[in-house]
Amino acid sequence: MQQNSNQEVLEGISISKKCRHCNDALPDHQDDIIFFENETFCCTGCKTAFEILSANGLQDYYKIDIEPGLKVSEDNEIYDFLENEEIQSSLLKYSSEDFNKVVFQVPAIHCSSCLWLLENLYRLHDGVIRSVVDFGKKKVTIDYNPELLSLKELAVLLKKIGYSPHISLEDEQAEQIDNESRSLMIRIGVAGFAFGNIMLMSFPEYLGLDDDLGEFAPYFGLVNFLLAIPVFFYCSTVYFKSAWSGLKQKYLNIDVPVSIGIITLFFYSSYEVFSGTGPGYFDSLAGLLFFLLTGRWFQNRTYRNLSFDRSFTSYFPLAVHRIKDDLTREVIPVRNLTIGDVIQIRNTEVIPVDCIVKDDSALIDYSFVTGESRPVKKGKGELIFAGGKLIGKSASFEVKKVLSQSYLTSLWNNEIFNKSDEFVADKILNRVAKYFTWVILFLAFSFAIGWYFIDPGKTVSVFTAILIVACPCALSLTIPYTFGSAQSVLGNIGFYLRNSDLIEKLLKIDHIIFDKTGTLTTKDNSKVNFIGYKPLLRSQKANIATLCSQSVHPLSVAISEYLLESNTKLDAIIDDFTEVSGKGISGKVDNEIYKLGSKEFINTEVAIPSSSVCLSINNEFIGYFEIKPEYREGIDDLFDQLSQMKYDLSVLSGDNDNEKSNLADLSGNKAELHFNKKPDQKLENVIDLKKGGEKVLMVGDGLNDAGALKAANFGLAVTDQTTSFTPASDAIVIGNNLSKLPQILKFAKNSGKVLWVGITISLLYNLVGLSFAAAGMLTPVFAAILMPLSSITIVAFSTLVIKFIGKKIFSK
Amino acid sequence: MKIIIILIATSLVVALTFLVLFIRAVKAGQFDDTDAPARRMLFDNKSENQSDST
Repeated sequence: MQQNSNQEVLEGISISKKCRHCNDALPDHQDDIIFFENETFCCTGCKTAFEILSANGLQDYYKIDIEPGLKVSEDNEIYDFLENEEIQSSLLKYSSEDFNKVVFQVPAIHCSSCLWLLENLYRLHDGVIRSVVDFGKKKVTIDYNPELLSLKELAVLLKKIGYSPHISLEDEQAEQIDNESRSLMIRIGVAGFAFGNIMLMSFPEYLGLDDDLGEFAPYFGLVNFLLAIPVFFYCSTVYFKSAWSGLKQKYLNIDVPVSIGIITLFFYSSYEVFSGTGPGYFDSLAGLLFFLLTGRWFQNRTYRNLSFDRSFTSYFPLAVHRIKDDLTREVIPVRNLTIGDVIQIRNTEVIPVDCIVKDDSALIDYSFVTGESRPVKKGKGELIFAGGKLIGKSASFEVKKVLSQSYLTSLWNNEIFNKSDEFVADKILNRVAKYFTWVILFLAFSFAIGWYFIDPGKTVSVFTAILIVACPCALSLTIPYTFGSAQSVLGNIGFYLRNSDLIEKLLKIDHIIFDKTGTLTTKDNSKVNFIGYKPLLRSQKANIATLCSQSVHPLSVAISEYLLESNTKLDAIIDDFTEVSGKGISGKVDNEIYKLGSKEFINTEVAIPSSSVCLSINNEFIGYFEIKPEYREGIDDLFDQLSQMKYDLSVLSGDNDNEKSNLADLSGNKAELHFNKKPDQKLENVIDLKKGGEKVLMVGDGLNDAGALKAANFGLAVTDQTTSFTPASDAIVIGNNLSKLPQILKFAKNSGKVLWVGITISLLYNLVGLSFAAAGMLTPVFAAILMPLSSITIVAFSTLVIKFIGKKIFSK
Repeated sequence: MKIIIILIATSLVVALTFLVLFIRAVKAGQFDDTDAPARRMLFDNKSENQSDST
C-alpha cells in the first residue's frame, strides 16, 4: 500500500503519519485524515476519544504508558440491548434507585494507562460513582447512579473512549474459582502458622534439652496438640475428600496413602502426647500439610483472563432487534424469541437462531460454523442455520426455530459434550500410587509381624512409623512443580494450558489433525493488497465493498472483506449492476462507474500479476488488488518437523478442495488431506482414530471443530486474540505461535522425563525413611528433618530443570 | 522457668493476631488481583492540576 511521506506540512499543521489516539497509520488518502486541535486522527472515533479525554483534563492517559490508545469504532447501536430490563437485571450485581453496581469484562485492558483512565471514569461523567479495575481478569467494577446514567449510556461511554465492554452472561464460574483459591490460601496460612509454632515448641526436644523443661514438659506437647487440631480438621480435609471419592470409584489415587499418613501421624502423636510416652510428630504433620498445600496452590494458578469452557452461546449475541407489526424496532433477548418473529441483523452480526430470509438476498459467512471459507448467498425464503455471520447490507429474517432447538444447539447436545473425562485414572501419579499403597501396607504389616516376634513392645510404633514415613509427600509434589513450571514456561511463549496436568496428555500424542480455515490459514483466509497509482478515498473503498458484496465470487468476497472496516456502512445504492461470469463486475455508485475484473474486462495494457483483480473508476485504470491465500508463517516447516518427529498428520477441512494442491505442496505430501468435512464428520473421524488406538491431538479454531476438539485426546484451540471466542479446549495457542508446535511437543516429552526422575528421587527418600522406620529407629527429629528436606529437593529440582530445558528449547 | 510460659503465651498471641489478620485480608479479596495495585501506586494524584496547565 502506498504511504504518505513521513512528515509533511499542510496549512501550517504538522502531520505525523500516525493517529494521535490509536497510533495506527493514517488513512491512505489525505482527504480522509481528520484534524483536531493540531493533531491528526485516523477516524472520527479516535478523534471523539481524544476530545472527551482532553475536555476532562485526562491527557495524562497518553503519558502514563506507551501508546495506550486503541482504535475506536463509531457504531454505538450495538449496546441497544442493554435497554432491555431482563438483561439489565441479570447483569447488575446490585441495583437500587440511585446506586447500581455492574461488572464489565473489558478485553482492551492492557497497560497502566488503561487502569488509570478506567479508574478516573468519575471525571468523565457525574453519574459514575466509583470504578475499580481487576487487572488480571480484565474486569472493571463500576458503581453508578442510574438516575444520571443508564447502563447503555455507560457502555457507550466506555466504548467511546476505546474500552468496549464484552457482555456475556457466563460469569458465575469465575467467582467460584476465586472462592476456591481464597480458601486454599487460608489453609496454607493456617498450616504455615501451625508449622512454625510447633517447630518452635519442639526446639527443646530437637536440641536434647527436654529434660530441662521439668514440670512444664507436658504442656509443650499439649500446645502442639492444640495447634495441630486446625491442621488436621481444617487443612487436611481436601485430601480426605479426594481420597474418599477415589475409593468410592474403587481406585487408589495418590491422596489415599497421603491421607493414611496424615491420619496415622495425628492419632499416633496424640496418643504419645497424652500417654506421656513421647513428644509426637506434630511438627512433621504441619510441615507436610504446608508443603502439600503450597504445591496445590502452585498447580492451580491458571490464566484467569482466558476462558477454556466457553459454550457456543457466548459467541452469540445476547439480544437482537425485533421488528414489530407496526414496523418499529425493539430489543429482545435471544432466548425470548418465538417462532414467526421478524428480526433484523446488521453487517458482521451473528444470526442467533435458525430462520428464513425475508429480504431479496443475504450474504452469509459460515466460516466459523462449518469451515467453509466462501460466503454463501441466500435468497428470499431460504432457511439459514444459526451461527452464520451476515456480510453486507442489513437484512431481516423470520425465526423458524427457537434457540434451544437450533441446529448448533443440537450439535452441542451431542453426548461428547456431557461425557466426563476418563483421564484421571490414567494419570502417571495415580498409576504409581496404586502400587505404592499396596507395597506400603504390605511392608508395614510384615515388619510389624516381624517385630512382634523380636520385641512385641515395638510392634505398634514400627507399624505407625512406616505409615508415617512412607507418606508420599515428595511424590505428590513432583507433578505440581514439574508440570506447574512447564505450564508457566509454555505460557510465556503464548501456549496456554487449561491446567498443568494436561501436559501428561500431550506426551502420548501420536496423531495430529489440523483444521484449515483459521488454523493453518489466518482468519480472513486470504491476504489482499491494493496497489494503485493513487490511494483510495474511504468513501470509494465503501463503494467498492458494497459492489463486491453483490457477488459471491471468492475474489469479490475477499476484496469486500479487506475493504470493510468495522464502521463502514454498506448503504450505498448501486445502479446498473452487471456481473460477467469469469470476467468481472461493474456498477454505478455515487455517480461513479466502478469496474472490477480481469485485464481484458477493464481494458488495460498494464502488466499485472496473476490472480489479481483490476479496478477502474469512470473507465480510468486506478490499480489492482493482489490476492493470495494466506497461510500462517512457518506452516511448511511445521509439517516437515512434525513428520520427522514421527507424528501422523492429517488435515480435516470443512472447506472445498480448491486449495488441495497448494496444501499438498506446503505439507510436502506428508499429511492426509480431507475436505468438505461437516462438523459431525470431523467428530466421527477423531473417534474412529481413537478406536484404532491412536492418541489424537486436534488443532482447530471454530465452532465446526468444537466436537472434534472435545473428542480428541488433546484439543488445542488457535486464536489470534485471546479475547475472541474459542471453542472449549484443553489449551489455547496464539496463532503466530502455532509454528512452535514441534518444540512444544518436544518440551512436553522432556517434562515427562523430568517427572520420572523426580518420582525416582522421592521414592529413594521414602526408601531411606522406610529402612529407618523398619529398624525401629525413626525419631521425631529425624522425621521432621527428612520430610521437609525431601520436599524441598523435589521443588528445587523440578522447577530449575524445567526452566533450564525451556530456555534451551525455546531460545532458538 | 515461669518466664518461658509467659513468653510462649505472648508469642502465640502475636502469631495468632497475624493469622487472623491474614485470613481477614484473604477474605476481603486483597490477594485476588495482585497486578492492579502494583500499577495503581505509581499514579500521581497531582495530575489533575498539572493537566490544567498543559
